[in-house]
Amino acid sequence: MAVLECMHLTKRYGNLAALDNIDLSLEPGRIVGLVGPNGSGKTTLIKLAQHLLTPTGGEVLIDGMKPGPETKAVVSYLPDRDFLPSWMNVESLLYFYEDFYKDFDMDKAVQMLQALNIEPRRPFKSLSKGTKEKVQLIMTMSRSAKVYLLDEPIAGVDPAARDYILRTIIGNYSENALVLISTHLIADVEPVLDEVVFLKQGHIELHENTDALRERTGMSVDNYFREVYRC
Amino acid sequence: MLTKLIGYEMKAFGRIILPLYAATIGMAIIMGVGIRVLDEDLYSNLLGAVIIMIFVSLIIATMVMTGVLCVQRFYRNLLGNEGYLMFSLPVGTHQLILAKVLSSLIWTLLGGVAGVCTVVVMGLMAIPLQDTVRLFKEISMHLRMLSLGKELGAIAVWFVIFILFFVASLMQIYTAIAVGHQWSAHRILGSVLAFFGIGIVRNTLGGLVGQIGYRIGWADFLMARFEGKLFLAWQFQLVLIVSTLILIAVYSGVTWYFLDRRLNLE
Repeated sequence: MAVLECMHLTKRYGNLAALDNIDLSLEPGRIVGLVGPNGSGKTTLIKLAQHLLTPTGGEVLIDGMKPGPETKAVVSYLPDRDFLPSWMNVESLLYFYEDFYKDFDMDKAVQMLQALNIEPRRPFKSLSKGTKEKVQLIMTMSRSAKVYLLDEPIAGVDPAARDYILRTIIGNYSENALVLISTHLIADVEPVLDEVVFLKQGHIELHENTDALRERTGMSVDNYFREVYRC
Repeated sequence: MLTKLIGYEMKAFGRIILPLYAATIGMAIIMGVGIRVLDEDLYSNLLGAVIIMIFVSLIIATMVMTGVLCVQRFYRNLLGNEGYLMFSLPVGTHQLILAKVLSSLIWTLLGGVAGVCTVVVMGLMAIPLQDTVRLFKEISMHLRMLSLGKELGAIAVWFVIFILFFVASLMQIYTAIAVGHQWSAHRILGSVLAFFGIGIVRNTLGGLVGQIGYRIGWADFLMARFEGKLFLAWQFQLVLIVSTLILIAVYSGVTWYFLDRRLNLE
């Protein structure tokens, strides 16, 4: 049974369709890449699934439910921006997550912070951009969620940090969970993907198993992406 | 979950407001001591003026900051980047709104308590202890002589009405922000225009209801019966309570609708 399902999902901003009549079904236990150039609708799709945007038409279901408090209890979401309150320190952020999410694993989060030598008493605003992104990722991946929605988790960080982030995702997601990673840096995430969804101007251009895609086209996903989106 | 949300709001307010309370009470102590020890010479008068200026500035800063935070916590925490966290929590939209309203109300009431504490502290510092005890005895005697028995109930109801007025005013601002956020750009301008728009609609409807009350003779009845003591009329208080509760219900419904059914975070 699909854990994330979009049916005729449409989102318009005025006359511009950010997503146009999307049908998509994603199964649990898979790591799926949501790829496409800027403005193709990746963030819009994720925000609709998290009920941060209201669809113009159609609907999205998470674990069979419309987005709401029940789905947010099983979805772990990493936005594409700094979203944690800057006045809190790392330790109080940990307690915040523990307070609100039953599936938050405090020990796991503390271990990951220790491994990175991040001082829990440090105010979030005093951290560097890369460290902030790591803390946000640690918070997100320390939950035992059914769905992980990761919006551009490796954009804007150095290659070493990218490796750490990908290792953290692979090492910490629940086995039966769906991980949806939106990115335009395909080469970096390709090795971890089971499936890929290509978005182009609000439409699904392709949804395929990555092994099948490589076999069919004789190209890596990254190279095929460059073919499809050639300017 | 609501308690946790309120606890989190209390911390967010407290880290800014509590130092202001501490500074104000600190200045009240300095002022109280100053009243007792400063002489009438030029130097002392200048120093006294500076102390009073700082004290008044702190009181104004505390009041303004409380008001600003009541609005800013709603706008930034729900509709700014932090909204991505808050609207991802497994809580209902009504709980997010209620937490903002209740924490704002608590901090406003705490502001009143802090104000009373400031006056008491200053008095204790300025007046010798035996005089303070005598002063409190005189105040309580005067209060007893006033025999407020019946009026006390009416005053308590007025306190409830004050709280309802506060909530209604705050909810009007929240509603305006929620409506303004529907604009794709210039959302602050949209919120300001929505605020005035809501005010115009409310005043028009209020005027209409007042006209109906006048026509059916309700206003004359109250005036004749309570001759200058309108504030004691329970009928008058009841009308205020019911009308304010209706306003709060409408504002809450509209705010919830736009934040839950029409949410579009940037």
